[in-house]
Amino acid sequence: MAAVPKIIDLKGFFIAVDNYQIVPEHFIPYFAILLVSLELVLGIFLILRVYLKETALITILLNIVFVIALTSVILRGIDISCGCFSKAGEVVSVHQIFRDIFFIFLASIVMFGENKVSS
Amino acid sequence: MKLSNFVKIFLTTCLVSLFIFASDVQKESGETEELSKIYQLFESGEAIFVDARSYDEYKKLHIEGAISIPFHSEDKLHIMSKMEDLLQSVPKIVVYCDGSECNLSKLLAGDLVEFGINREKIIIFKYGFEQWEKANYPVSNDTAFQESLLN
Repeated sequence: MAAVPKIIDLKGFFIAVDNYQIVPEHFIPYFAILLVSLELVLGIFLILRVYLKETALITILLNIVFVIALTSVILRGIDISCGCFSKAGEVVSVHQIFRDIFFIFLASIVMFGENKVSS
Repeated sequence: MKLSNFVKIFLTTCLVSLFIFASDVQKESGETEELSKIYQLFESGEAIFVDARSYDEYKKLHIEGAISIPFHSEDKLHIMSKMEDLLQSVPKIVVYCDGSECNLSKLLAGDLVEFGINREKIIIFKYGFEQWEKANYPVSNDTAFQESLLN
């Protein structure tokens, strides 16, 4: 539930999003709030197995976006905090990219896995 | 997979966003002061004004007596360290940028808190330099105070 610490410290998350230098400054609060809400909804839906396949697909797409953002930060040589699970600590590195790829793999298992649960 | 389920996920996300946005606005309203209140603070001399815009903008014109900590500056941390004594000693810190559409003041306020400044004494001047200038309140292009702090 990566969204919880971000919601608790929204300002810190705004800074983390701004550090990526991808989203225009004016849109940062709206984009950050939408992103954190989506993460929260996806997390809860995955746990509760609600609309499982659709949730898994959006999770995959979201993690692909994260991989692209992280790669672009590394390629541009920007040394920033990841803002992935909390605002402090984790500096962007290849490690986070592999972690997101692992999440994509897990979400793929959910998406293409057993078809017993449907909503 | 059903399209309607994607729509439901999207709508739920929008609802959650609205809820978070509303609670954030409510939280901020306490710390975002109106122009007149900010001017009273300026008059009282109790607050130091911090300009979050670029140094070039600050150099051109800024609120009289303000110091510059450009949010996008690579030396931001160094500047904050140089000004730490001042920032810690003043009872109030008013952070501003261009106007209500700019977020630099909010972002810099977050940096100041992270730096160790008490959150309670930071005030975000929502309407920023634009409104200040419009109201004909004191402005200056004197950078001597800023330079004296950095040297």
